[in-house]
Amino acid sequence: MRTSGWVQRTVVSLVYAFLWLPILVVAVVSVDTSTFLRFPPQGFSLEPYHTVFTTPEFTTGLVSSLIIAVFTTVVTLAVAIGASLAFTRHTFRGSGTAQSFFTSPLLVPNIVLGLALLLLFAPLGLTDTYTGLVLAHVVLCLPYAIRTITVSLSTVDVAGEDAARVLGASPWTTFRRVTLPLIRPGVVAGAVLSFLVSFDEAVVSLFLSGFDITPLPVTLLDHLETQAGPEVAALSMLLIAFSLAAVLAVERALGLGRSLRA
Amino acid sequence: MAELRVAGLVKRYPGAASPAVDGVDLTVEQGEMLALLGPSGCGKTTTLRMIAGLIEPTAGTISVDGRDLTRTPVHKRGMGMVFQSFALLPHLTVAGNVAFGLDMRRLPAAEKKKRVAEILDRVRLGHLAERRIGQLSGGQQQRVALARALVVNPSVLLLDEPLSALDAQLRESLRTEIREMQQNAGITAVFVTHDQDEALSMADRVAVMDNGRVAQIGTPQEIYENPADVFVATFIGRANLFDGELTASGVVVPGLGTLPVTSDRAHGPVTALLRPQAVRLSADGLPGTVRSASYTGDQVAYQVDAAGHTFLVDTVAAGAPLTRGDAVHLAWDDTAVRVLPPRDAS
Amino acid sequence: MAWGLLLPGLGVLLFAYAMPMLWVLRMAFNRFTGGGGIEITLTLDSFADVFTDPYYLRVALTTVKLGLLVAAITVLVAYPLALFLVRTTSKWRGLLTILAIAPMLVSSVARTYGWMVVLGNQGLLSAVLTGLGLTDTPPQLANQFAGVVIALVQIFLPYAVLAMTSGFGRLDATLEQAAASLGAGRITRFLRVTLPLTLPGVLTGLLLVFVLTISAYVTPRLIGGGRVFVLASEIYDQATNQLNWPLAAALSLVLVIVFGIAVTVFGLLQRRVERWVSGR
Repeated sequence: MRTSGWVQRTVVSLVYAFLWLPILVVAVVSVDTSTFLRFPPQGFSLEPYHTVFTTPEFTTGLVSSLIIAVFTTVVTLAVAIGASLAFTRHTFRGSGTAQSFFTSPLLVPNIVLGLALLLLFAPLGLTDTYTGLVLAHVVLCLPYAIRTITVSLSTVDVAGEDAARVLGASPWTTFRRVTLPLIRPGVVAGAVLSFLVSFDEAVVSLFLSGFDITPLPVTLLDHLETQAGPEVAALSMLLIAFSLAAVLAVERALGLGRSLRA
Repeated sequence: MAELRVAGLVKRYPGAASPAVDGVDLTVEQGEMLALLGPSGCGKTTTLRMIAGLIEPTAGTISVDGRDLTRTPVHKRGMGMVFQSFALLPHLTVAGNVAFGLDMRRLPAAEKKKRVAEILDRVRLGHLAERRIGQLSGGQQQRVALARALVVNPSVLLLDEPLSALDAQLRESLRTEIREMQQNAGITAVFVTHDQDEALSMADRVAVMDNGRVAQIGTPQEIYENPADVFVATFIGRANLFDGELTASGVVVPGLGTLPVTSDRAHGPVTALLRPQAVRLSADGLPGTVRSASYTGDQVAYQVDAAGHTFLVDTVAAGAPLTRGDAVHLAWDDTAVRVLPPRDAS
Repeated sequence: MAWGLLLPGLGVLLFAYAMPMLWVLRMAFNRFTGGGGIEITLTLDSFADVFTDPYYLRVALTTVKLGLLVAAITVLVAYPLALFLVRTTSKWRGLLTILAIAPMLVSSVARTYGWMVVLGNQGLLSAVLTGLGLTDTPPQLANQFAGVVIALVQIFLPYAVLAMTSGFGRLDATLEQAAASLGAGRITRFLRVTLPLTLPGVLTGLLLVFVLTISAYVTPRLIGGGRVFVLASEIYDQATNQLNWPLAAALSLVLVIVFGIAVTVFGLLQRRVERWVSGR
């Protein structure tokens, strides 16, 4: 038993190391003084981070990504809360089918969805616009938000809502003063995941972005093919730090496993 | 402070074989407390939720003081309701929960504060006003739920199994408390329960429900002493039932002879009811043998085999109880015998 | 009421999901007339291109091969980790689970960049290997198939762990103890108890990683660097560089069909395994 415990611990440690290796490597390279991609690093400097915030390409990309992510999150939440209420608080014909439809974008390869959106949006003039990008991102984020919000809704006792209604609360007041405060963890987790999925999305955005709007991951992708020095590492590191902060937020709100399990 | 009238209420769920509620008529007088009593699935909770407006009836009307509320949405009915799970809002304090209905009625802050404090004092929870719901015991939660329902001066108070989530001892004391508050406020109330003791001890009148219909409605005494059918007789209290034939001279029961009772029922098959309390152990009468005795302190409940039947006999405990195999004689007043429709028909 | 709540969502999904998907299906049957021109018609020309040109067949085969390889290796690597997370009674279990799943939410572009640093010509791996005197010539992993496999395994590992830990629900420590009390050795216990009970979770993990891999675009493009061609990179190239939308659409359909075949095959396997495990 003792030897097997030792073997198991070694194997598990190695897997963790493999899992976090590229992330740690990016952290190291991001404070390197060298101007191109190499290992081991040549020296320590925070200059790459400064470069990120002074390179117009990166800053405009950041602003675009933020705008898209904020609007995507707001629209996703509004749509997802409504749909989740329908799925958990009402019984109607076709409920199961509708629920599958709302979560099915998760099953479509992003490369196919990206192409599909390009082919439809290009003739409509919706490529390279915030409207087009936000709509596309909402489709990608909806399954996540619906998942976290329905989990929350199904754990809340419906009797509390009934009690509020009997006491004179209209449907809207019941939602605002009873339902919403009680499902806040699910809404917060859904918001954070939506923001993150939108902010990190590269493939669908690649099809829909152009001269005017280039989200940060697309900028990063283009850069990686040509030159990949420390400032790219710094930018990647910022994305990583951002994601890890989001992970903590989701974990505290609803639990990471519960939020992501499809 | 109102009279509640329910007429021809029906609820049919799509796909269900039979309606959950199948034509219920009820009138609850002002200040009266009516119990809806029945086994689970009899439609009592569905009826209550239709009165509240939480479920839309398939047919029938609900009115308060002659005002038809059938199509009025739940939040405009002005009723009060206490739920089985209490349904307190965990994100609000005790005072916040009690004030919820007053907020909806847009009461001035000062007035609201006064009424919340008053009602919390009445349920002896004034000192817990700022507590969170999770910090309260079950009995305290129940009293908050009651205060929350009463503070808005509802036209009708609805209680859905209000005591079933509590332990036995607490239930006893809260029965009296709920009843007192209801009577002091002079409020019309309907409460749902599956517990016959609760229904008999608290309500002015009891409606016994079975399969979506009201089997019988009356005062606790009427229901107990003159049950309408075998279902009511066995659901409320214990019963000796004898299947027989009603003739001009009485009910002819195989093995037992003729029970000389009069009844305006049509002659033919009937079931005779004799409550265990009405049967006495006496010096002479029907000879029998004690099959079992169960001693509960103030009472002894016997099972006695006599004339091919097993009789339930409840007696006041006096001296040493009889034991299995003892020979006894059974006697009863013929006026205690009730004639019910035959078992199969009910 | 219910449909009113669903309406905004249905609107968005119909416009930005259902319609585009139907449109891409329709596009596959149009004819490409060169230089970005498209003739609206009903023809199988693009499919003929895909199925007769040996190049596209090779791309499709590479995609499937990559998918199978990455799925197998990922599940193999994820298995001990998932088993450990399900069984451990450590007070750090929560943190360890987060550590295993969190990379899932880290931008795949950023993680792929990390692998470029590790596997690059002057990267970590080459530095370590030359430092140990194992080789003088740095390995050319970055531009090769193997590099893509390694990076994708790491990127999809959290997905596999998540799918497997939720699929291992039937694993009950008392079953293994019962087997031990009946005299089963460690290897027998694993083969006769643990493995069969975890097989459904393993299959779910395999399917998930396979479909994620055949749809992957970023990693094959960056690490494959113009040497590893998969359906995804071909779709992007045809759509944006060649402007041959019908062909891009046809390739997308091929990808979706491979996807569908995988789901069907795994569904059948899953049912068979379920029947075997539940002893019916």
